Amino acid sequence: MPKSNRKVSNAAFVQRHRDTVLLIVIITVSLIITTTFRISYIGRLAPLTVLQRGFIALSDLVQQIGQREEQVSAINAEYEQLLRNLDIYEYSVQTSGYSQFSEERLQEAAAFSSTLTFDHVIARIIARDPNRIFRSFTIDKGAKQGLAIDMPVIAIQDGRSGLVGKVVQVANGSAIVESIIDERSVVVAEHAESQLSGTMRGAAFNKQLLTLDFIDAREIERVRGGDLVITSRFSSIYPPHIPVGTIQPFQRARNSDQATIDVLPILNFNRLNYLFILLPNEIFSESSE
Amino acid sequence: MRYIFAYGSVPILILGLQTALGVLFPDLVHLPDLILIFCVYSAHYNGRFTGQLIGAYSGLCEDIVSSAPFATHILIRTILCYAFGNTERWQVQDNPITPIVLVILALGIKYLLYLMLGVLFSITNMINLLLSTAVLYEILYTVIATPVLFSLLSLLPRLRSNEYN
Repeated sequence: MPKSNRKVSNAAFVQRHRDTVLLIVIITVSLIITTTFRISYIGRLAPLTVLQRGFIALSDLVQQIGQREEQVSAINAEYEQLLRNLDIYEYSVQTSGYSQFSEERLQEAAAFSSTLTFDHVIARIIARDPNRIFRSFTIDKGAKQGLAIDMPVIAIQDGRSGLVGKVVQVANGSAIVESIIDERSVVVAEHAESQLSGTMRGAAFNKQLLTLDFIDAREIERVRGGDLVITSRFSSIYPPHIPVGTIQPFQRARNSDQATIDVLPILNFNRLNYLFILLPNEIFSESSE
Repeated sequence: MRYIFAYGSVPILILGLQTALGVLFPDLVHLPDLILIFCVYSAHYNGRFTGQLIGAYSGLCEDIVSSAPFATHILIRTILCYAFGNTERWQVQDNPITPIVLVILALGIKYLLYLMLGVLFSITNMINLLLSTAVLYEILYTVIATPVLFSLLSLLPRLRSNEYN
């Protein structure tokens, strides 16, 4: 067959099967990218970040309206109660107990911020991973505010501070934080009391329990359920002594060189709102050494 | 031009909503897969070729906001759109059940792809998801969202090929 005819027939074949050709091309390129590259900096979609912020702002507004309506209905109910009981004192006590959760969280974050010795940036979670397989958060601060990859992230909840994870992707006005409960997360941690070190891995799907592999299991007798686990002195990413979780009751295995223990994180990752991204400073560099 | 604008902006809007749902309802066991519904809709009304391009674009947007290995979603959404581009001639408009059936089938294919990718890239949570009750919640939420999203998307004639308009 002449060369020109062969070219025409090839083009006709591609044209006829263009759907399948496109599918094969996209699958091949995707597989190459997935297996070869670890993309850590992506120019994030700015409109999406704006939208995510918009949704959160809208929800705040709805929440406030809801709270006001709740407040009004609560006051009405209390008023009826007053008419029945004629107990003015009871009314004042009940209304004073009303609080706005989001404001409380912000106040808690502000108070914690003033006591933190590390240079830090406060960020708000504006989105979570589109599905529950990967446990990451999108925050409203990015490279513009000085954020960079691998910066440690902590949070405060109900008066207790704890490790959240680290920054894994940074864009100008937003960043992605991979939490320690993500299955790919690995943290060098230690038993606060005995200083036994081990590696802590993320949780299994839909669970909040972490697993801690103690490198030396001979001293496992010194570890008890309920003990505190903190970040290790040997970690290259996280500053030491940040609370991570508490050890869950466990069975002591005999004749094993390595022990694996469940750890319950200090923080409830479903209820996180404000995060603190620790910026490298002198205290951090000294404590890491 | 309007056609490109519609297809460029709608996945971003849906994805913005889906990622925000995780913050607004933190205790949900799983989130509805709104992008999957959009992919099924687009592929159904535009056929395999255009459907695949839309699927790849939607997957790209999802990969950008997710911490999943990059291009995972491009792969999943493209294959889904290719498969559902074949349903182009099915009668969806008159029958409210058909979109739900299509979406359930799409979820089945997605879980199959999760299984393959989970094994291939050692992402155990992709496999663990299939063994947990969270799958049922995802199916339930997605099925509930399907008629709503199909109705909303049908308000945008630009999202369908000219044959339907």
